[in-house]
Amino acid sequence: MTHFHADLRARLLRLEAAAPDAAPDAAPAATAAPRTHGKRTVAAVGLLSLAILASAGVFSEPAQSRATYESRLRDFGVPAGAEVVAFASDADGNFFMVMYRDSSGQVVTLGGVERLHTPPPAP
Amino acid sequence: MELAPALTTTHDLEQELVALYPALARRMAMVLRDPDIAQDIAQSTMVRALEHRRRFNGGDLRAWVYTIGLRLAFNELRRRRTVQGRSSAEEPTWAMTMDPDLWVALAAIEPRARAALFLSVLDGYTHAEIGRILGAPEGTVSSWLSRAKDRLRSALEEDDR
Repeated sequence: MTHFHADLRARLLRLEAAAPDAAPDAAPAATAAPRTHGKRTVAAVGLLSLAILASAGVFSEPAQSRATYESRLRDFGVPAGAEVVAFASDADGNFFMVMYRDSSGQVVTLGGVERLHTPPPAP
Repeated sequence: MELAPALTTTHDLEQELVALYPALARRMAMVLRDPDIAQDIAQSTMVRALEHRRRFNGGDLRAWVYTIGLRLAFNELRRRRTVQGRSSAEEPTWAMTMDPDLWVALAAIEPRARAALFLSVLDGYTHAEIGRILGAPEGTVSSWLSRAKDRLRSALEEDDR
């Protein structure tokens, strides 16, 4: 390995380590706000990582909102008692994608990831 | 009796995907140069990977996830160039604080070549492996890497003078 290559690797490693990894915080998905950048509003896609952590047992819905959360799951079509693997919801807690494991162990996906666009401001 | 091991494997794959998320998000930030877009792409990648987990035939999970993520990223870059022109986003603080010379030098490298550079220098993938990840011939990858390193060498050595 040349000196340049070794130096470049070390600098790239440091730079990449400083990059944001979008680690999810502990805010419940139902109450998080949508993020906005530029002319586009991306509603709650960023909450997917929170939901993925649910499958790892890292994140759990607060007790006071569990009933609402579970009723929203039922309304979206997820069978009672199914293990949720991942979900994405908007800022109001409305699901637009839920992945759950059915009784046979198969992972079922309802809905899909959608991005909401706001029109550009009038010139 | 064969169901339990299969479920364990699926569960393990999910855990590994979750564990890969931070590294994927950071890599997307390096390739796309916009943390917000990078976050969107990283999350879309996770959704795709979870949806298509049965297509993963074992082996290098990171390479499989990077393949999905980088293709989504390049599609997004193409779409943005078509619809909005070049991004005018400001340079991110984390990059300008850590190594502004390198960050600016990387901007001069085309996104696919930049991704190839990271896969080679940071991850140690061979040119053939990078070609499979990026969907490009091995010779093209070699050419990208050669030009990218020349460009960086020139830019960074100029900064040192």
